[in-house]
Amino acid sequence: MILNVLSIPAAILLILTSTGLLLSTNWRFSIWALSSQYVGVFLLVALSWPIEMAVAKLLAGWFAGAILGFTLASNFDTYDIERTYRDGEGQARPTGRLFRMFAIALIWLAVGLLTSSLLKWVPGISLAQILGGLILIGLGILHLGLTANPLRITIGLLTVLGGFEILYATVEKSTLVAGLLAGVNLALALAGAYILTVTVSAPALIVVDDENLSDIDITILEKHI
Amino acid sequence: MSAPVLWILLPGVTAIALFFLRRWERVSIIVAIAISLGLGVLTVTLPVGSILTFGPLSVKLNDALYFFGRQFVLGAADLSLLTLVYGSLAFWLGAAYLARVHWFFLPSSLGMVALLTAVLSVEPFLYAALLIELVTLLSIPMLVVPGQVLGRGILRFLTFQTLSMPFILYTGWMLSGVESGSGQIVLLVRASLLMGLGFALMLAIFPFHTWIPMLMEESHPYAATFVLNMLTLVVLLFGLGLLNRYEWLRTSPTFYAILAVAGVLMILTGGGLAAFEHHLGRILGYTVMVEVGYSLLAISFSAEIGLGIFFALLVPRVVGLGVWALALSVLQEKRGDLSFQANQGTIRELPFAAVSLVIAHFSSVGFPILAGFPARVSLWELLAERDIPLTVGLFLGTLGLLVAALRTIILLVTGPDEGPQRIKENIWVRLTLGVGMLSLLLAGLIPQWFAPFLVSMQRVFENLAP
Repeated sequence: MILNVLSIPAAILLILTSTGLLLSTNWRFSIWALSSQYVGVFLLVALSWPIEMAVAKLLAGWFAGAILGFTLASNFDTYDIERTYRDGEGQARPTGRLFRMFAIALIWLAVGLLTSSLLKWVPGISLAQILGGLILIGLGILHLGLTANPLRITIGLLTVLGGFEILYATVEKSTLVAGLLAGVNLALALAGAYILTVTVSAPALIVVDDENLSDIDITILEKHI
Repeated sequence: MSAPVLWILLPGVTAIALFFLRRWERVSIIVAIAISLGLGVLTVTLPVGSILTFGPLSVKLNDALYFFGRQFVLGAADLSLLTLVYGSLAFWLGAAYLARVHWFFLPSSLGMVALLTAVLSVEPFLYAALLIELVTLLSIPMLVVPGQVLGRGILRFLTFQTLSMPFILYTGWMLSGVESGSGQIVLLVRASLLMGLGFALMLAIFPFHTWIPMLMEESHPYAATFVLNMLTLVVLLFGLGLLNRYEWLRTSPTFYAILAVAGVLMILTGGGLAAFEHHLGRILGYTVMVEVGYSLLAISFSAEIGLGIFFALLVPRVVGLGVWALALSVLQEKRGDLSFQANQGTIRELPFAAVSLVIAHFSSVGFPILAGFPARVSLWELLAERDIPLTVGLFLGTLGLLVAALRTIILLVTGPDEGPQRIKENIWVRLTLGVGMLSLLLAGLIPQWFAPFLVSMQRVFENLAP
């Protein structure tokens, strides 16, 4: 069956997208990576669920990406999202990236060690599903641990949920669960978009480079400090 | 018609309608209070199974609603819990206008309570985790209002609550294996570990507690306290539901021992940290931790005693936190923020807010004649008979909370001498806080008034009730 053939490429896609999400400092790339990630999630969930139910995951994920993307695009003029998205790396970005790569390698190692035991625990699960699911959960949690940026937190949570959904799809095939999980994904993206739209990130969370501050930045910071 | 339509769908639809009625703030508040109060009263006056007559039409009130092959069941016994839930909502909505919360509070709070009712009624229970996550997401507009500076507390709240969901869902799957007879000790241990982690994240049990004080500092105190109160209340009731359902869980001495340690740890952490705090909102956050700790401790005692004390803690908790949160909202509105620095000598300008804050605080400490005392003193006695090291922890936590109360009194009554000042609270604030203080006093002096209501709530958990 074609889905079985595609399962390993899907797991590799998930490894690439989740790693890209962690290393990227470009929000547009991140939104694309997040949306591509849901293709991998769809392919792995489709191994356990009927295609029409698995498509719900793909659509919910794409909608989530679209919600975040449109929100950022429409707020781009208001404040410099790129600066915020770099999330404290500033001048030390190469070191930060190196550290992240090291942490990612550790997660890969941990996933490799866990895979064989989980194969015994969960009946009917495939190797690609375990790999994909655990990688997303591990790197998603790592993402959450390294940031206080609302966009990154939302992406991290969506990544963790994506990984969980792959593993959970193998044991639970209820339509209501599928619907509610899709609802949770969408609501999470909406909550993230709402936070990004209505709040100004706390000054402590922004890398403030005084020389490059725009007038708009200064107005916002003066208003809220 | 079924009970879930009345107590889940109706408030849910009203919440959506209130979103569109936001321009008419007073109308929205009146509608919200009327609906919550009406639904609260109906839990007492409209038994499940009764026939409703509307002119020529007559409709039987069934207990179940089927939805995508799953069901939401609200039996006659469940209605007493809903009395508490909708009564609490009406109480909180009643003072929402005085607390000057954002208009999002009205639709969000009604929607949250509708979903929380769904949490208590959904079958199979594992769906509750998804609904709790939706409650968390629905609370975001209440906690983050336009123009607010974003802090880390709200993000941690969102993160921890979202991470808890997979643990509970997986527990549900594992326990279904146990129920179907394929259970083995390894599976039970794994399920217990996952469930413990899930509940620790949801209830902010140490070391996952950091977001509570942060949230109380960053968000409006009234909205944040409402979310913390309702969410922890329903998660605790959900936990009791699990205990009621699984015999292996309720007969495990290890489980009760862990619960007692977790409870005391929360009291010790909350009380200890409150003693050194310099922000009135954060102190309330730590007190919520202490309240949750007491609830866990109550459940850790044998069902006959523990369940009664658990429910006896609830009414003082709802009233006490409500009064405290309203008092803090008044202070925040008049003083700008809730730091110690900004609130020195507040009692001269805002006497009702200051005094009610202190009384609510002392009630949470377990001060005699106040609402929190009867249930707490029972727990102190029981724990002292059973476990001395844990009693020492409980004592230290309570002492920490008492120190925080004394520091608050000193803060509120001392300050630069600026001569006599005009009282800045309006008559409605004084009246509401006055009624709140009186309620705390009466609940402490005559706790037996609530006894019949508490007994009826215990019947929901038929395997735990004496």
